[in-house]
Amino acid sequence: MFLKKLGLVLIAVTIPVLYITSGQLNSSVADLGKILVNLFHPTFELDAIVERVILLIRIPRALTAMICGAGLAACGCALQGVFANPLIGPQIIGVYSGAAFGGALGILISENSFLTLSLAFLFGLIAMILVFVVARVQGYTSRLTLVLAGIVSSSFFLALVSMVKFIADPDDKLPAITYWLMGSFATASYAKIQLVGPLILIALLALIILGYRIDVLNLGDDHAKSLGLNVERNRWSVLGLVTVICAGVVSVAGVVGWVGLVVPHIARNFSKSNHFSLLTVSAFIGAYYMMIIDYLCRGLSSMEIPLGVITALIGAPFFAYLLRRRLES
Amino acid sequence: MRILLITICMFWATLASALEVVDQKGRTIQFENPVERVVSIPIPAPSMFISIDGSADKLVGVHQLTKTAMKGRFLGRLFPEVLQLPSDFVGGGFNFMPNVEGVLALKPDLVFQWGNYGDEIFDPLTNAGLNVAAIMIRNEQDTREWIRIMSTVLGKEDKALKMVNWREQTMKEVKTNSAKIQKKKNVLYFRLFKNNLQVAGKGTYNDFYINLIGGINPAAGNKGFYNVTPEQVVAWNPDIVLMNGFEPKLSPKDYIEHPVFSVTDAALNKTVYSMPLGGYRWDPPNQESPLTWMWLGMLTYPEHHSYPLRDEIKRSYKMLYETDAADSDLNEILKMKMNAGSKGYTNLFK
Amino acid sequence: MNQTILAASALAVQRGKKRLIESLDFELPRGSSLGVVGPNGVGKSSLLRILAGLDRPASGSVKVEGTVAYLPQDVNLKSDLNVLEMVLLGRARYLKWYQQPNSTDRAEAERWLEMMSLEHLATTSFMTLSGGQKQLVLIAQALTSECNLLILDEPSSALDLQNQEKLFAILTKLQETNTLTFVFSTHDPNQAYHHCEQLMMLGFGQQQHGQCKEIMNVSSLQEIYNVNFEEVEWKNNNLKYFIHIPITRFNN
Repeated sequence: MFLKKLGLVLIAVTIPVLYITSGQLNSSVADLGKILVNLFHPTFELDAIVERVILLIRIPRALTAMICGAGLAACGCALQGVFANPLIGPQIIGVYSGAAFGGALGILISENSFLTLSLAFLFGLIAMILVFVVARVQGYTSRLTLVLAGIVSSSFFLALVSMVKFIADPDDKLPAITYWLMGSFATASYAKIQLVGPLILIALLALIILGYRIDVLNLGDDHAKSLGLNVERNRWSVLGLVTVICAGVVSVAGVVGWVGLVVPHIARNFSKSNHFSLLTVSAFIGAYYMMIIDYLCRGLSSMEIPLGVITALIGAPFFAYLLRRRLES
Repeated sequence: MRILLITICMFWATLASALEVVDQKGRTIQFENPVERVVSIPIPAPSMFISIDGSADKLVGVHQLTKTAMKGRFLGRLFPEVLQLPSDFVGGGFNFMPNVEGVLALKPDLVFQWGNYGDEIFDPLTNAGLNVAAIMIRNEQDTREWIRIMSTVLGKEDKALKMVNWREQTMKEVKTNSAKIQKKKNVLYFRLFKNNLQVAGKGTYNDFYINLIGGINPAAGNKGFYNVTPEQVVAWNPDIVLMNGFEPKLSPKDYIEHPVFSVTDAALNKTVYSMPLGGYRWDPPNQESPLTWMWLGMLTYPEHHSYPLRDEIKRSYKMLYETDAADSDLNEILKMKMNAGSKGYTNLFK
Repeated sequence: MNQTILAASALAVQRGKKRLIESLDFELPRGSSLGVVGPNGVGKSSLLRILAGLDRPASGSVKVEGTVAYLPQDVNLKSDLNVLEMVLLGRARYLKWYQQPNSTDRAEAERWLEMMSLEHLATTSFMTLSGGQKQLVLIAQALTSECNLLILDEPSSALDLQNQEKLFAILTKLQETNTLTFVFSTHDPNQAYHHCEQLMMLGFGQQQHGQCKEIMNVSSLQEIYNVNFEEVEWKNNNLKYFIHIPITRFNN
């Protein structure tokens, strides 16, 4: 038992260290060590280039990947619980498309990446408010209407994204927008982490704490109501937290799908079935999953492969396998 | 008898004025009358057209972004009438999808359209009975092709000859100089920089002229334009960095003062330069490309490449646009102010 | 002082445009039980859902003193939780959003599991249980939620005879020891006859409510079910039983 825990801790530390010390520029664990020491008290002589690459490129990117991965995985897990459907991911509720539009708009109208980030976040929230307004009838939102309203909201904002691409300058804005829509951690920075990180982490924590209530919601609306839970309020609280996390992720990383769908299923094999445990384990696995995938994006070749592409290439076949397993049982 | 003679003469007259040209898709287009009205959908085509015709008189419709590229700059000042031409026959952005009725309303004798962006934007025009010439601008070969097409259409074959000869001569001279270079330098071009980093790989025109002047393109490991991480750029550590002329307000400072790039050799040596913009941007292939080659050669290997660039610009502009370029124009074209802080720029091109 | 746990006043139940139940009035005191009998489709489930507060009545009102737990007819829950976790969900009413179940909650849950004789299944996955066991677990969950009123929709329909006996034995025990009040519907008139004080007899176009032993007899049963019944008295306990004799009216 102790060995198992030790093994886990070792893995948990090794993966980020490997990530931070690997890349197109040669660097070693010793370099990382020296850099970290220097942060507290300048002692070592360092190659300026290696220092900057590790401190300003790889570490922010690692942190961003972990935070986003944890957030998305927890979102997927929470949604699967609330909808009592294992085939649901965060894309279904409309946040993604809204945030995608906000980001595309930001790139179109300005050079300021913080404006882009804010617009992405804002429109992610607006998309969710649209879903709220459309799906809620006489103070009640059924799960089916939620999904349908999510589709409506998504389609609307995706159309707006096409509109933005339509009027974008093909020489510089359009390629930037297209690339952003495919998702990437390439523009990760401490400033962005400071802005969006705490938001995502606090929402993530709240989601985990709500795990117990998600278990109750999972029983079905009537049953949950019978056990004394205000179904509407609790469901919308979960959705609200999911919205905040997803909008935050899209605003710093563009559109990254298939993580919320895939990771909770991996987590199921390593966790107890109650949602408090499931959400926690999903978050951890999500963080490392994203980090490994991001390494593939930046380290496989000199090219930066878009994140959304790799998550889809891995996620879609896995999803197909899940679907088959479900149909067969 | 007289009637027969006149008829025969008229017949020969029409034959003589009949024009035929093969476009870049291999299609043959026949014109019964001389081409007087031209609509251009590709963004750089009007500039090319003006350089062959020496005037903008025959242009009746251009893309919106052609006008934004010309406004406030050399060619826009020279041919301000272009800025007033209608553009609503095609969308404002990356679609190039023509509104066929809008095009027909302009009564063009010829329409220029991209040949390599799909039939959906091409066929509606030919289906409407218009004369459409396909244009592609990917490499040096393409440039020679559209010079041929446009000069044939305009009956300016001798102009075309001059332009092609100039390119040939310059290329020869540059190659000769490049052959003498012993120690090659890395030259990296940023097609995009502001939102994400995009570089020019193997097969791009930038790759072509980097090699022409004797440089090495570190991004040649992959084909075409592609995105990279800042780390990859640092790993390549280029000797010379070229900033594109497409992104507005992009300047060498963006690279030199970048938190990560500022410690690379190019930033420390300030060998970062912004691509000039003359009749069109010097980045992609166009009628002024020989100037690009000379410019880059001088910046990369000043000991091997030495050309009277300012005089060359003046001379070629006289040939192309039939105009005298002033020194102030040259300063603007070469972006003297923007590149002032970069190594050797002011000295080389004064 | 026998507190009224459930009271209905001028209650009407409607499905679509059809009135199923008209102006129903009754009061159910603590510790007693109400049975609901009638053929399929007559409105038993609809009535129970309204009494549980899940649906609104067409007119009239329902008043419940305290909390009510509802167990639907089909237990087709798809949950990966184990039995103890499932029962623990019963504490939801008493936990704020940021609170997690503590040792007191756990003890409560275990107590009820023991009462149901299910404590040996605490770590078993809920999904792997039989229909009857699932029902008992859900009853434990309902009790963990400290409900005053328990409403069960045809609780025995998925159970074999032995488990049916077990279920009602537990319900009776709970009635006696905890003064639990419950309402249930059933197809078996005998279950109602022997386990409830008040009875609701529902037929198509007719309804009757009153003291169970008073209103249930062969003719009232025949009225609502449209089949033959015979009444017998078993000599061992002198209790009445109603037996369905399958001779249809046609053959008469």
